[in-house]
Amino acid sequence: MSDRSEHARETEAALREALSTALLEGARDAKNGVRKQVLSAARSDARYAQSRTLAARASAVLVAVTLLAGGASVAAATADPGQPAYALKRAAERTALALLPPGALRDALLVRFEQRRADELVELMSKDLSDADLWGALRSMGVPSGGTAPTDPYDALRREMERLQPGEPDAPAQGEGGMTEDNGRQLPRGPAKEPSSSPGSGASDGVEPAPGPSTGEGGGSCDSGGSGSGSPGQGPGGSVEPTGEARPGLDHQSGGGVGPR
Amino acid sequence: MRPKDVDRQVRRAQQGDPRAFARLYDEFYERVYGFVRSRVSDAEDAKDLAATVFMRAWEALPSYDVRGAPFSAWLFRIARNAVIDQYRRKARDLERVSEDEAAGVSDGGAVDETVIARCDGEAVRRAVRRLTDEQAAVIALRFFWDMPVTEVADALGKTEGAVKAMQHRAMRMLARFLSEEMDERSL
Repeated sequence: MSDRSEHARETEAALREALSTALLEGARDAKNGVRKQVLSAARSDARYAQSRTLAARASAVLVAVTLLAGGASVAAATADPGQPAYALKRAAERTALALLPPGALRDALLVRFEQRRADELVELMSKDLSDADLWGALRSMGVPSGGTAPTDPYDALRREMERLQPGEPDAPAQGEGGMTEDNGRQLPRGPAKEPSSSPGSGASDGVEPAPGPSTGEGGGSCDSGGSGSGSPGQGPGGSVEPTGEARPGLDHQSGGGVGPR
Repeated sequence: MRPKDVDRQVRRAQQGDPRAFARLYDEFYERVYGFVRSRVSDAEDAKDLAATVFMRAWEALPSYDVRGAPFSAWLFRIARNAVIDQYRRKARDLERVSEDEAAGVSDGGAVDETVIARCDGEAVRRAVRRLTDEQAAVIALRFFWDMPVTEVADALGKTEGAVKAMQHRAMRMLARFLSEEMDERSL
């Protein structure tokens, strides 16, 4: 029995290898071209034109504040948590927010800062910091320590990462370098998401394809030939039918009052 | 990419961030390409289909709920629908095997892995195209998408037992088809 099992495993391994080689032949060559097509379509998607405009303006405000603050702030713009210049970076963010009246632009900036915090936490996770260094970095971000906070800094880091996930209605963290949203005002929520449904196409109309026989054509022939190389009707660059409502504008999910601390 | 990282990128992409979608594209491209390539005879068609799949995914992202089915399963359904649409457009060139036809083909028995290793890429692709859509889906999800049986069962609307049986039969069918390929070449 064990010989048969071993043989079955070897056969499966050989099939996997053969399939991988055969089905991925040419994949690498096509990857970049397809990527460009797809991302070009994504970037020009009119549903997000307004949020992209806001994000660009928010970035411009941040850059302007940084430049006005002088050379040290420019250098601080890329500082990591725990570094001396990180406080300057956070100060620049607070200043940028303070300059903006409540509204979509300020919200866009808050979203950007939230993503920065998330990226910083991911970066911290990937570094092999000592506990002391990690606590130092987390405190500079305003992550609480002591009291009911986890004693292990990596637990604190993970908890903070969980808190920053959009949709989580958590209070902002307090502490050194921290910044609360003014009076706990929450970021606006986007429209409710439709329940997940089978994504489809113009032809299949979002209906899960029923298993079973094909349309009856074709057969055992493997080399049908004549399949041509024409692009499908909905080929690259063509319009693609959405399966849900279009959601223009600033449509983010971080309604939990999470912002830079 | 860990599932949580995928979810994070999905959320960002749902807010219109094309860079996040680019990361998803890089993560899932080979899985999508491998599957669509298994269903079409032409590399150019596979490339076009892969592009279609990702553009449809971008378009439909607002309707995807990260708390529901895994993103990989959702993306696979898009790929499967795209292949079906391709079949409808190119009805004359179908190479699909119906379930009834497949049921009539005996799977022969175990095949030596050296036979498999001797088959070239085109022979393997021809053999895969002779599988039914469901068999091809199971092979793609188990071998390319590395999905556990439970997720494959969810994705295809089958029981776990059915998926295991389908996988087993698909592999034996593949082995038989490859053996036939080698026999033809030796003639």
